[in-house]
Amino acid sequence: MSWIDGVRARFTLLFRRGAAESRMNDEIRFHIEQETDRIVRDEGVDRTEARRRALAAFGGVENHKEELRYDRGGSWLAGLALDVKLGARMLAKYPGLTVVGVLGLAIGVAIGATGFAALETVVDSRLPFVHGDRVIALQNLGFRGRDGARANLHDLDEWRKTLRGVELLGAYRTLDRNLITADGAATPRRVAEMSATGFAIAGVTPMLGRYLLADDERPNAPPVVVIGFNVWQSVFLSDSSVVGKALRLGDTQHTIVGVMPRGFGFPINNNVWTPLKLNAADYVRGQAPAVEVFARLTPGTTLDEVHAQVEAMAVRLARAYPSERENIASRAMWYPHSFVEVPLNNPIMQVAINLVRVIMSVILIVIGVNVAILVYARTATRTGEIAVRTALGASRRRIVSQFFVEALVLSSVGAVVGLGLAQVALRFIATLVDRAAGEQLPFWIQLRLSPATVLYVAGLAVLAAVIVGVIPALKATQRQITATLKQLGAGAGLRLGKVWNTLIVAQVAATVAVMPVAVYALASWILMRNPTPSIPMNELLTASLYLGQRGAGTDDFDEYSAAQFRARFGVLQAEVSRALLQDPSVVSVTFSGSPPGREPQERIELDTLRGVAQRDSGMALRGRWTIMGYVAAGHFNALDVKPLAGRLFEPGDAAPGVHVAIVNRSFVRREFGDASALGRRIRPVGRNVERVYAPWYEIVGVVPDMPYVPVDSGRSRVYVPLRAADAHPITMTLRIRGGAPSAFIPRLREITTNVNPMLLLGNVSQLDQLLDVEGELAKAVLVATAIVAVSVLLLSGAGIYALIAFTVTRRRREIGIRTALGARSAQVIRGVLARAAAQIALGVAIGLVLALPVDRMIGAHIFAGWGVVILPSVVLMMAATGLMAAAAPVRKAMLIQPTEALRSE
Amino acid sequence: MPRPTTDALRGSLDLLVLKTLSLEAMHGWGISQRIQQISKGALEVNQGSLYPALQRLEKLGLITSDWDTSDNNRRARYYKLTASGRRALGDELDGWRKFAAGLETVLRAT
Repeated sequence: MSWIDGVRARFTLLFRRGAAESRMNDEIRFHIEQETDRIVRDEGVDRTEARRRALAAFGGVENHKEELRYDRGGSWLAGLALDVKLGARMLAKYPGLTVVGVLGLAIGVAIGATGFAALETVVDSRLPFVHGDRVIALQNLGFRGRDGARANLHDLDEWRKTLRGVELLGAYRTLDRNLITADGAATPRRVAEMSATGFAIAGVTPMLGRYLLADDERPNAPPVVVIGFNVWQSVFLSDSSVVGKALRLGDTQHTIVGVMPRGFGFPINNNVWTPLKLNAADYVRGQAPAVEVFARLTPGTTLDEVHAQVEAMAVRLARAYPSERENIASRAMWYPHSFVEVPLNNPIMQVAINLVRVIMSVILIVIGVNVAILVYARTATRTGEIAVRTALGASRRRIVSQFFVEALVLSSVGAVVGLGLAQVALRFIATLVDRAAGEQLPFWIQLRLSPATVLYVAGLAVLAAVIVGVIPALKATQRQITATLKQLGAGAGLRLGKVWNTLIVAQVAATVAVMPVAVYALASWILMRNPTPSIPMNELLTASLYLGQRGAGTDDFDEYSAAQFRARFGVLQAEVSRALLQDPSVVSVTFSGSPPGREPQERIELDTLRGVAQRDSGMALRGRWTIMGYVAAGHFNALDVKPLAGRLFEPGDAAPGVHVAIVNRSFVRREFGDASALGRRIRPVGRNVERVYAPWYEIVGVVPDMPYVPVDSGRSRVYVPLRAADAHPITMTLRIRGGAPSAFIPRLREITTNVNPMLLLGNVSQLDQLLDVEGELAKAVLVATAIVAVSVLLLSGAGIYALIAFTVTRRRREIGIRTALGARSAQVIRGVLARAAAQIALGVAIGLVLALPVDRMIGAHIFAGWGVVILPSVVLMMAATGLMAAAAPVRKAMLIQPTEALRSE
Repeated sequence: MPRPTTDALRGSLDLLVLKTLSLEAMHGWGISQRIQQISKGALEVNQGSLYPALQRLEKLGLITSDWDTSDNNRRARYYKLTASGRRALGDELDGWRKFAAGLETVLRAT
């Protein structure tokens, strides 16, 4: 096995350095002795002479040794070790530079890594399976209430029959069930009724038993269940003989046939699976239960091909069943992408997030350049060292590589610190997202530092080292050694060329351009910390109310066709409301599509037929993001809100064919300015598919802004009537008199269950506590913004410091001579500062020009109002930073003694 | 007698070493002596540059080495051919013969 021999030989040579060295010495000694013996024997000379001749024949023992050492492949390693050691020594020798450099690079890396990890999570289209990159979801889109547009069994059937290029097409739906074990203990769990193909797509082997098979889906098949690792562990205490045991789900007895391994959660993050036994033939069109559809592309099929097929089919279906399918489009998308929603629908947060995104893209380069300027200034003091080493035979490559390794040591320390920061940030984000979502994230989303992120960071570290180490070293080694040697000790070797000056100007400009928005975001948050709530936030309790659905195969299944189910749910809502209002502590009860303050955003467009031109015409997508809430007729009255103009909703507004809307004051101001909004028409234009249109809604009333959370004020909202039967689950909001609303929770559960035991309550919480999460998230983003803004400013200052310190070092003699000739300190200072001041001024000017487009891009719109205050303060801030940075080098310049400066001549 | 230039020799040094070791396991000094003896002094290996060649061949897995005792009871490093070294020797020999024949043809023609 030659390669094994080779590897062993290499290993010994490379890593058992001592052994290799002594072997070499022993071997050469043996050779010389043998040769000496031979010469004594053959030629009869004395031993000393023979030894001399033997050595001569060998030819330069040390040279050969060096060649052997080099050949071992260790020379670069030894050189590297030396460079690393030198790099570490440099870190200790210049602590100021080290702290600024490491901190700056760490922040750059942390931002890059966090952003990379988060983006990777959102953008990644693969599931962690074999062929997980081919799994897709098929969806319907449209405006038909919450459930009406979703894909249902009939769609599944159509897709199954007609789609080409997909395999293992299947569906699931989730139901809430009590898991009841043999001993009678009950735990509520979300059960996935899933086609057996879901397991085939995942291709994950069960830990125990088997997974679901197509046979289990037959209508008369015995009810079976597969459980996940968590349930196996927590409910069955890791019982290895669990397969074959009975498990009751709600009112049906099931047999456990398998246990899935840890980490398996397909389709979302499920732990209990039963077969999807639903059959489209059992339902009238339009009344079949909604399901989520998944499939896998066959090899060679593209997503676009399948997308085109489902789109075409949606058009065909709309023609065939106009009443049911009008305004409904279908789409195919990567499976993980079907879960990505933008949960952060808060304007100030969006400003902050966009800001971070903009900064993220340039931050590491800006930071790297800054640190490079600092390093270059230090390199200037090391021209002597470079010249001496060059004279002693070091190649340019060797010197540049030494500087590179030194910088790599610096950037690696920065990268490690940055990864630590990113880890903390990601963990924090993960907790917040979990809390905001109210449940666990899909199983494939792992907000943590993946190997890819670490690799990306390693790349960043090398990039930073190139900027910080190689560029200054290349500049420093350009010059003739003799020239430098001549100037040794004079302190004047290098110049800050055009490149560096441009970079300093650019960086001041970048700081000035970005800073106003950062200041604005921070100021808005600080100023809005304590708004007067216009609604009694601390008296409100919110919960989502839903009705447990029966699965197929149960006796009363037929009762629950979709329409009947909704009608029944509507009746139950009214009953719950009536029962609650009989309790003396309940002031009012109202229903809405989502909790107040948690409404989704839609693009809303104006009816331009009636005059005033649409203001946002330049946009590629029509309409502007606007929060859109579905609320019950009595919603505003229940919250004590009075209309500013027009009227509030009335019971008749929810009737079919009636389309009215109420908007808030910010919406009116944004869309109509001073004109009246009443009588104007608006409609949502859809999130992703432009062709889907909702009907026009006529604005009948204007209400005040109701900021639910501090960062909420100034957001445009549109309200449309909610039909009781449209939403399931529905959000119920109660106003409680006397005492903390949370104290009422047990009573709320009791009353609800008394109305109907199948009614379930989820996410019960005080509204202010629920919305706190959003406030916290906003706070976190703003704190991150503040850190970034401060570090950008700090680095700007460091750059200016480096520039001036560099100037002072280079012009030491000149300053000395001028002082000797009687120049006053003011003149000296002016001389030192002139160029720096000019550069800062130029940077500020460019930055101010850039600030406008940045403001536009980020959407802060601050130049209208706040700009008057913010812009001058940013300029002042920059000037102050420049002054502080200049103080130390200027002081140094003033202390230059003529005699001392001239002596070095 | 004209000595072969060092460059030409260095190119074929690997081949000479492999060939020598194919007869029996040998230490470095022995290899240099053996080459000289067999070539009747025509080829004189630069003794110092023999060792980098040995190290190179060992890294390639063509030879292995171990400590042993020499004829005069000294501790010496003995090199021996591995199986793949033997194969490599065959290939090298073929290559060399082709090269030499080619060279000879060209030299004769001009």
